[in-house]
Amino acid sequence: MSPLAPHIVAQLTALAVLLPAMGALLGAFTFLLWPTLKAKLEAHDAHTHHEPESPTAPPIAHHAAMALTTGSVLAAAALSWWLFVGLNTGTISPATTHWFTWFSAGSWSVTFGTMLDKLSATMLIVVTTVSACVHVYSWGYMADDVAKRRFFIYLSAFTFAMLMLVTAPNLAQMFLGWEGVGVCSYLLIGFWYHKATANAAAIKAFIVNRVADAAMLIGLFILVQTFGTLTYTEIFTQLENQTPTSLATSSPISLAALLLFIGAMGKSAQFGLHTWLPDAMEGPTPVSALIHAATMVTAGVFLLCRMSPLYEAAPDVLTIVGWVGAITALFAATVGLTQTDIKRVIAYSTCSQLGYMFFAIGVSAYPAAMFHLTTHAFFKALLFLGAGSVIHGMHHEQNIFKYASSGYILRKLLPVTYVLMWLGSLALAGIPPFAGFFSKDLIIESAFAAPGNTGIPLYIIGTLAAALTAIYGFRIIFMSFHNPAKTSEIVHTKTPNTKHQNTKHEHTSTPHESPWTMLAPMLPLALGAVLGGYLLKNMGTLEWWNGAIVIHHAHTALHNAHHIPGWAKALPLVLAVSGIALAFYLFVRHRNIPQRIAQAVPAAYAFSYHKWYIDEAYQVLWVNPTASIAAFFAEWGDKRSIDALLNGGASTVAGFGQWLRQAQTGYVTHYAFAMLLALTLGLGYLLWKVM
Amino acid sequence: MNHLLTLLIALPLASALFTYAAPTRYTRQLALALSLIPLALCVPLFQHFNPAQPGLQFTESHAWLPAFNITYALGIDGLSLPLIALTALLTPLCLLASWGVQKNPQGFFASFLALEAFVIGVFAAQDFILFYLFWEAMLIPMFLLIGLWGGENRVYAALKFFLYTFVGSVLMLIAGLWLYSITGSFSLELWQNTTLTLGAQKWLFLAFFAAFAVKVPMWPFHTWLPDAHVQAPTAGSVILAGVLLKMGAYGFLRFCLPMFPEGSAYFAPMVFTLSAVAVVYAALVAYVQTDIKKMIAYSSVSHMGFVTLAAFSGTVTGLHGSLLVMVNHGIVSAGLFLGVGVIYERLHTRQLAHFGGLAKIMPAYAFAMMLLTLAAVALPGTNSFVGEFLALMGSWPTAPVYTAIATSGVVFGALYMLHLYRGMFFGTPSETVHHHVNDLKDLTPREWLTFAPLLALIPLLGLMPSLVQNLWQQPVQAISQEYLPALQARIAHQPGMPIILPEAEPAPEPASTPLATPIVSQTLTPTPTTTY
Repeated sequence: MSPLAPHIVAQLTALAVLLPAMGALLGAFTFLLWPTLKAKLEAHDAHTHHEPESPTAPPIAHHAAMALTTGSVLAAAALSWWLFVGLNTGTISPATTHWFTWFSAGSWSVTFGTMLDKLSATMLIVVTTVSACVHVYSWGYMADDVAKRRFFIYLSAFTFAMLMLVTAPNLAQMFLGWEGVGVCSYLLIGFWYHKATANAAAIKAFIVNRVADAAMLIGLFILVQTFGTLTYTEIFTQLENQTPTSLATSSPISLAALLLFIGAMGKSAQFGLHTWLPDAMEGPTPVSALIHAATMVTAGVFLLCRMSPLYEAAPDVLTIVGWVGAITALFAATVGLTQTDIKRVIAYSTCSQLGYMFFAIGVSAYPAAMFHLTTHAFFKALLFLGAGSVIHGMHHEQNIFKYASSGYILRKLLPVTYVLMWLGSLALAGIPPFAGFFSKDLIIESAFAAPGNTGIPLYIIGTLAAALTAIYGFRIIFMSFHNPAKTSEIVHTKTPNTKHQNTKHEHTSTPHESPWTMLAPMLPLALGAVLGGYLLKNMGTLEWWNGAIVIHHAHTALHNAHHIPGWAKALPLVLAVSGIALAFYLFVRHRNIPQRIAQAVPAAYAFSYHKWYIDEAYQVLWVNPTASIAAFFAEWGDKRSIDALLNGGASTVAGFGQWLRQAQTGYVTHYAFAMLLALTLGLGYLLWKVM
Repeated sequence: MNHLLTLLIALPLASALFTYAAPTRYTRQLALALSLIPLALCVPLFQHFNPAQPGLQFTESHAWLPAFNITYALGIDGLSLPLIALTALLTPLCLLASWGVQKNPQGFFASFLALEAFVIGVFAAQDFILFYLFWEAMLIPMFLLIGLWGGENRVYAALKFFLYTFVGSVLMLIAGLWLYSITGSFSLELWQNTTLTLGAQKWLFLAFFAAFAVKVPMWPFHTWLPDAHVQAPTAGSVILAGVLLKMGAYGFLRFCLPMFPEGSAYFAPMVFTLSAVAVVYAALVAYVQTDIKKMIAYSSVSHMGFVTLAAFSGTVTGLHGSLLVMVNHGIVSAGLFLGVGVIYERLHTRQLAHFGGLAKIMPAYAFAMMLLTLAAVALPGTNSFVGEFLALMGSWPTAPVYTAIATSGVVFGALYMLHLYRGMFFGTPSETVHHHVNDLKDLTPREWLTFAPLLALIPLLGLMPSLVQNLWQQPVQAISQEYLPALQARIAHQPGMPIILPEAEPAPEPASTPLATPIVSQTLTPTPTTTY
C-alpha cells in the first residue's frame, strides 16, 4: 500500500485536533439556544445566608452539549488511532504542514500548522483515548450536576488545547496549547466555583504554572535570539549543523534548555513547582484523571522529548533534569505514604511517576520516558477513574481512613471497581506482565547503564521509590477495600437485590457500584494498563521513534539498558513485590502498626504528612512577602511618597507664593534694601570667582 | 477623499454643538447616531490607506498663521491609523454605556463628541502647534466629564488630572518653541529630518518626556490615573484607558524616538527601569486594591510599562509588540471598565468585598468578563498575547535584565486578575448582593451591544494580529532604523551591560540619513535638511 499523500495526512491531523474544538464550540452554542437562567436567590434575611439556587437549563440543553462534545472526541480518538497505526505500518509518513501566518515581526514569523510524527501521534492517541474515556465516564459521574454541559465544554476545550500542544510545529503554537491547557485546568479545578477551596486551588495552579511559564517565555526569547526561529525543524537543523565542541560550550543553548525545563517543571509538577497538583484534586475526579494524571501534566515530558536535540546539546542541563526528576520521584513517594485523601495519594503518585520520566530524560533515555508516559496515562487514568467510582459510591467521601472505618466491605459492594483498581495498582507497582513493569524497569535500567557518575545514584533512588510506590499504591487498595465488616451493617452488604427496591434509601446510605457509563470507559484503560506495556514495548527503543527523538551517540544509557547485571534488573521488581507484601501486612493484617510507627518517629511522620512543609515554606518565602510588598507599595509608595511629595510640592509652591507676597510691601525702603542686598551678593560672588 | 481627516475632526465637533443644541429627549439617540459617522468614515480610511507606502498619507496642508509658519497640516501613517480607528470605535460604545446619564445629558454627550474630535486631531496633526492645540483642548472635555459627572471626590481627581497633564505639556510647548527657533518651522516631518546634537537632544527629550510620561502614565507619574479612573464616569474611564493613555506612547513614537534618537537612546536605560518598575509595581499595587476600578486602573499602568519598554527597545519586534499592546490594551481595558460600569449601575458599589457569587446570578455577564479577564492575562489565542509576547521578545536583545523583570509581570498580572474575578463571580454572594438581588439583571441587549465588538476583537486579533500589524510595517521599520543604531552605541558605551545585539534586522543605514552625527560634539549647530 502506497503512503498517503502528505497534505491529506496533514488535513487529517488538523481534523483530529479541531474536532474537539468543534465539539466545544457546538456545545457552547447550546447556551444561545437554551441560556442558563439566573439562579434564584431568596430574599435576604439579615442573619441567614442563602445559597443561590443553581441556575437552570432544560435537560435537552445538557444532553445536546454532552453528545456533541463526547461524539467529537470519540471521532478524534478514532482518527488518532488510525493515524498512529498508519504511521506504525508505514501507510502514512510523517508530515509537517503550515497553514497560515499567525504573527510576524521583521524577519521572522510564526505560522499555524500541524506536525505529525511518532511523537505527536503517540501523544494523540494518549490524549484522545483518555479524553474519550473520561467524557463517557463523566456522563455517569456528573449526571446530577446542574452545570454539566459547561463541564463537558471545558473538557473538550481542554482536549483541543492539548492536541494543539502536541501537534504544533513550532514553539509559539505549542505555547498556545500550553497556556490553553493551563486555563482549562484552571476552569476545571474551579468548576465548583462556590467552593472557596476549589477557587483557591484553581488560582494556585494557574499562578504556579505562570511562574514556570515566565521562565519558559524567556527561554523562547533566547531561542529566537539564537536561532532566529521558533520552528522545531529549523532549530534542529541548525543544531545539527553545529559542531559538537561548540555546542558543549554554548551558554545560550544551555540557558534556553534550562528555562524551558523550568517551564516543564511547572506543568509536570516537579519538585519545587509541584505544590499546585495535590490541591488541584479539588476539581471533579474525571478532571483529575484526564488533566492531572494522563495528559496535561505529561506535557513537560513531551516538550523535553520534542526538544531532544536541544537537550542533547546541553548535557549539563540534562544532569539537572535527571536529579530534579529523581528527587521528585522519591519526594512524592514518601509523601504519598501518609496522605489520607485517596485522590491526593494518587496525585502524589502522579508526581512521582512524572519524576521517573524526567530522570529517564536526564540519562538521555527519551524513548523510555515517552514509553512510561504512555503506559502511565492508561493505568493512572484508570486509578483515578476507579477512585472516582469509589468516591461516587461513598457519596463524595475521599478519606481512606473513613473507608476503613465505615464498616462496609467495599470489595464486595464495588466488585468491578475493586478489580479494576487492582489492575491499575499492579501496573503502577511495576509487576509483570502489567504495563508499568515494562516502562518503569526500562527507566531504572537505563539509569544503571548511564555513562558517567550520575547513573548509579539515580538507579538507587529510582529503585527505592519503586518500593515506596508499591507500598502507597496498595495502601489505597487495602485501606479502601479490605475492611473488617461491622456486624450491624452486614445486612446491607449481602443482598444486592434489595438495592432496586428502595433506591432512594439506599442512595443515601449504602455504598453502591457505579453505573455502566462509568465502568465501561474504564475497560479500555484497563486493557491498556494490562497489555499496553507488552504491546508497545518497541516504544522503548530509539529506532521506533523514526527520528522524532534524537540521542547523542555518546549517551548510551538506553542502548546499554539491556546489558546490565541480572541482579540490577531484578532488584526493583523484588522490592516492589516486597512492598506489596509489606502493605498487605501493615494495612490488612496489623493495622495498628502504621500508627505505632508514626508514634515512634513523629518527626518523620509529620515531615511526610505535611508534604515536607513546602507549602508552609512557600507561604513564608513567597506569598507573605509578596502581599506585604504589595501593601507597602500601595500605602507607602503611592499614597505616602509620590502623592505626598507632589501634594507637598504643591503646598510648598503655595506657601512660597504666600511668603513671596509678603515681600511686596510697597515700601520703597524695602525694595531699596533688597536691591542693595542683591547687588552686594552679586558683587561678592564675582569677586570670589575672580580671586 | 482629500479631506477625510478634516471631516473626521470637524464632524464630531459639529455633532457636539448639534447635540448640545438639540432637545433633551433625543440627545442620546442623536449623539449615538452622529458618533457612528466617524466610525463609518474609517471604512474609506482603511480602504485607501496604503500600508506599503512610507511617510504620511491623506495629507492636508493649509497656511494658517504664515507669519509664524504655522500650518494646518494633517496626515496619518500606520502609527495613527489604528488609534484613530480605536477612538472612532470606542466613542459610540461609550455613548451606549452612558445611556443612564441623568444629569445634563446634552452637556455630557456633547463633551464626549468634542473629546473624540480632539483625540483624533492629536493623532492626525502634523504641525506642532496644531498637535499641541488638540493635546490641550482634549483636557477640557475630559476635565468636565470627570469634574461634573464623576464620583464623590470628582473635583480633586479632575484637578489632579488636569494639573499633572498640563505641567507636563508646558515643558513640551517650550521644547517645541525652541525647536521652532532653530528650524523655523513647526512641521513634524521637517523636525524628523533635522539632525540635532546630543546635548540638544537630551534636553528636548526630557521636555517631551515630561508630557508623554505623565500621559502614558509611567511610574512614578502615574498617581493621577487611579484617582481619575475611580472618579470618572464609566464612559470616561473607557475612553481614558482605551485611547487617552495611548497618546503618551504615541508621542514617544512620533516625537522622541525618530526626532531625538540619540537623546532617547541616552535616556533609554532610565525608561527601561521605569517601565520594568511600572510593570511589577503597578501589578502588585493592583493586587491589594479593594476598589475594582482602581485595580483595573493600576493594571493599565502595568500594561503601559510593556508598551514603553518595548518602544524604547527599538527592535522591529519590540516596536510591533509595543503598538500591538497599545491597541489590545485599548480593547481589553475598555471592556473591563465597561464591565465595572455594568455592576456599578446595579449595586452602586465598586468594593470587591461587596460582590461574590455573581456567576450564578449573572451568567452572561460572567462569561463576558471571563473572556476579558483571559485577554487581560494575555492568554495565547486572545489579542493581548501576541502583543506582550512580541514586546518582551523584542526587548530581550537590547534590555535582557529589564525584560526578565517585566516578564515576571505575567505572573503578577494573572494574580490580580484572577483575584478580581474570583472576588466578583465565584464564592458565595455577599450581603450587598443578597440585598439587591432583584436589581441584578443579567446583561441587557444594550449592554451586550457595547460588549460585543470588543469581545469579537479579542479572538480576531488574537489569531490574526496581522490585520493591524500590516498597517505599521513602514513606520516601525523607519523608527527602528533611526533609533536602534543609536541605542546600540549607547549600550556598547555602558560598562556592565551585556552587549547583546538584536536579531538580524538592523538594515544598513541609508547614506542620505544624516544620522551618524558624532555623539561627542556638544555645540548647537542645527542643520535643517529638507529631504521630504
